[in-house]
Amino acid sequence: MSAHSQILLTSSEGTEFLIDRDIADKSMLLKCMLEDIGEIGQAVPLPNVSGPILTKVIEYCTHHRDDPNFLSANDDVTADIDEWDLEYCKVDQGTLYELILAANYLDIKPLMDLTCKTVANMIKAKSPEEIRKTFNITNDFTPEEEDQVRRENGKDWVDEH
Amino acid sequence: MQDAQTPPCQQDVFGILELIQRIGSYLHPSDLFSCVQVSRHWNSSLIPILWETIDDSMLSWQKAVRQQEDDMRLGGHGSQNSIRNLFVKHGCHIRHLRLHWRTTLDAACSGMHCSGLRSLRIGRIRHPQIQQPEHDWMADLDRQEQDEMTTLRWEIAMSDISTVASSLPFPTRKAALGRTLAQQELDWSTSKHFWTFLRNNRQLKSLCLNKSLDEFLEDVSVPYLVDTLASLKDLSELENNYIAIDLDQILGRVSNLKRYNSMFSPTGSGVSNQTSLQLRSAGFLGVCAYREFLRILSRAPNLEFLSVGGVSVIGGVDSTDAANIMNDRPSQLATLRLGFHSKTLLDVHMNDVFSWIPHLTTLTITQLVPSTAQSLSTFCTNLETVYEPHKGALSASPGQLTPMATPALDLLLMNCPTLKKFDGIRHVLSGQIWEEPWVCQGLNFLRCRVRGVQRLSPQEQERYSVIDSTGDRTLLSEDDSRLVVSHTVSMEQQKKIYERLATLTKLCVVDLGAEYRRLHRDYEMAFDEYLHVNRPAHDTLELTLESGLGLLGNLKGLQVFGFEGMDHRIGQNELQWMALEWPQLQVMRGFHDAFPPRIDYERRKAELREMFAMLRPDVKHQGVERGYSTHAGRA
Repeated sequence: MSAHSQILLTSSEGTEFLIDRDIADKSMLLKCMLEDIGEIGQAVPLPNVSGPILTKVIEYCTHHRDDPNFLSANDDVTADIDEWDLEYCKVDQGTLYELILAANYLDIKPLMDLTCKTVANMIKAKSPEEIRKTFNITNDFTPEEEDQVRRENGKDWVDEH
Repeated sequence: MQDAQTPPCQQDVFGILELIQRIGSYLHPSDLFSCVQVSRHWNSSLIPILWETIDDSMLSWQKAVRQQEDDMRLGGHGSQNSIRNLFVKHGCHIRHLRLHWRTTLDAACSGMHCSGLRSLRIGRIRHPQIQQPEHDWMADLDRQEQDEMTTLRWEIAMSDISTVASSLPFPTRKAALGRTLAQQELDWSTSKHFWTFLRNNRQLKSLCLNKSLDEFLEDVSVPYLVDTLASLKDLSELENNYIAIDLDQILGRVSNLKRYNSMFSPTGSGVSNQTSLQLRSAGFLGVCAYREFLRILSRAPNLEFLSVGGVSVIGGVDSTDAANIMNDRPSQLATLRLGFHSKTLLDVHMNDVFSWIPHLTTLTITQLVPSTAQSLSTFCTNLETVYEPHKGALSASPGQLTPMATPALDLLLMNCPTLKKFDGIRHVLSGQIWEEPWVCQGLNFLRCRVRGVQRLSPQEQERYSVIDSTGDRTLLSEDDSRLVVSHTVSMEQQKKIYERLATLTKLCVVDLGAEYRRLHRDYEMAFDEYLHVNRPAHDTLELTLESGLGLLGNLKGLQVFGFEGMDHRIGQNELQWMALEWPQLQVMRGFHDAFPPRIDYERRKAELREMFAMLRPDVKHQGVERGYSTHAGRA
């Protein structure tokens, strides 16, 4: 099949997106599916991804279209996020979570890494209480449990930075 | 649990174990520690990530270990062993474990709690003399009775292990060597637990055993050790600095081993000739006999990387013998390091070996002699990199020609068309090489010195500039005429050198500089530092446009230019030229200021550096001791 062929995707609301095959191939899910069943005349339904999120995902894949290290680029856990990616992730928390879920569903590893790293950066250098506040999580430990967790996992041996 | 402000997808993201753990994998332990305190769900999801990699030399483990040791000293053996409790509770999550303390080693090994390890690295173990009180019930016994009782208890303890260790002889007791009874018991217990622990970790891929284990483990028999290693079916990386093991045993029994390193010299009994097809990389700190060296190559035919402390000529091998050992089959070896850690390299008879390693691309050698260079260019037709490590100031004082004025480098440049990188600052380009054809057009890294250039002395230079500025050459005195002739000769000679260098258009790194200063600290004389300065080398390129530097404008890809210790005459014009003509330049080695600018020459360098910084603020200035960080330097 030609490298320039296009495929049609349908988001959860039924919006249709026509994208180039090489961009669809960034998603392991779509790549495997297209390899298995070949060109299909009709749209591929993506019931788990909303239109705005799919737009974001396509934006990412298009930007990294010719990236030769697409699959290995983010293997270095400590590597800094590049400028474009950083800008790309400046979205509200809800969108970020939806992006993670979409990247997980579509199996786009670099986007997973990028978005998870962004969430990790929101956790860094925060106290447990600050983390709870950031993510709106209720503390369901009893005081005894909390104390035990602290003791066992390093109240004394994890350096406070 | 989540109130209305929480984005609807958050619960999904943090609720999927794989996702929350992936987020956790980007966090430092101290952040993970905060995370596990957030809620029950976060706790159970992230505890495995927090405990996945444990290195007891990091974080505050040291504090905890010391605390525990103090507790044990004060409270006796009845006191709560908090570190052991931690391993009991969380040991099952540990995949990568690095140990440096006897206390954590004991805690990790006892019981079956840590049995999912993928890698285990025993560093240099520090073990305090734990003054555990001897068993109360032994207090009434005399010394001999105590010893008997201890032996009996030892035998009982060992019988536990024989079920695991089949019928092989397990460690035998060492002599007491001044150990108290309690220490001896502790040592047994550690030995027993340690070997069982190792055998329990069947998924271990990487293992490193340090010499310091020998300080407290009971003597282990080599067959037992080999049997233990052989039982670890996934073991692919092994660093054994614990006891010397016959290499034949390692190659024959540890079937999936890909990397093997050892501080011992490789010795093989020669009894078995089983080959290891898996082994790709091997390193030995010790010196090995030439025969053994060949045997390694022949026994591990897919070996790609080999490093030995040195090769000794003892037990010399003639070429027929060598052919027998190698079964007439050349090795696949691509990288060879010789004597990297050894200053007493005996490589005199090494040259034959290159005929057995025709695929060699990278050679590191403490001293490249002409005969080796000759063998390399004859047999190793894929040679790309030759590296001769050198640290510190070169000892040759000015005036004297260097002790390494050998043509080894000349031989490579004339005969190795594949050569890409030569890094050997003790080597000198001089004399006839400028007349001969160079074949290595792909050379991208050249680090050596240029010597033997006829230069005017500083006084002559001054006189010459006066003559030059008058412009009238008809009325010169005899001396002055001679000066003009010398100057012309010098210029022509230097142009020839630049012309030749300019043909190597792939060059990314040209470093012609060597350290020539030594900083001494005079402790007796009021802590004064003083520089012991050899003068910079004078009989080398002056690096001026007048002498032909402009010819190097061909080197458009130049990233590093080094000229430390060359008595150059670089001025404003040259700096402007370099700034313009070498757009890729990243590093300059020749203006760095690690040494106090007490001599005029150093002060001049500081001025030049400032001038260049105005022209090219992006270029860094380094001393010659630094590694090369550019792309070409790493290649």
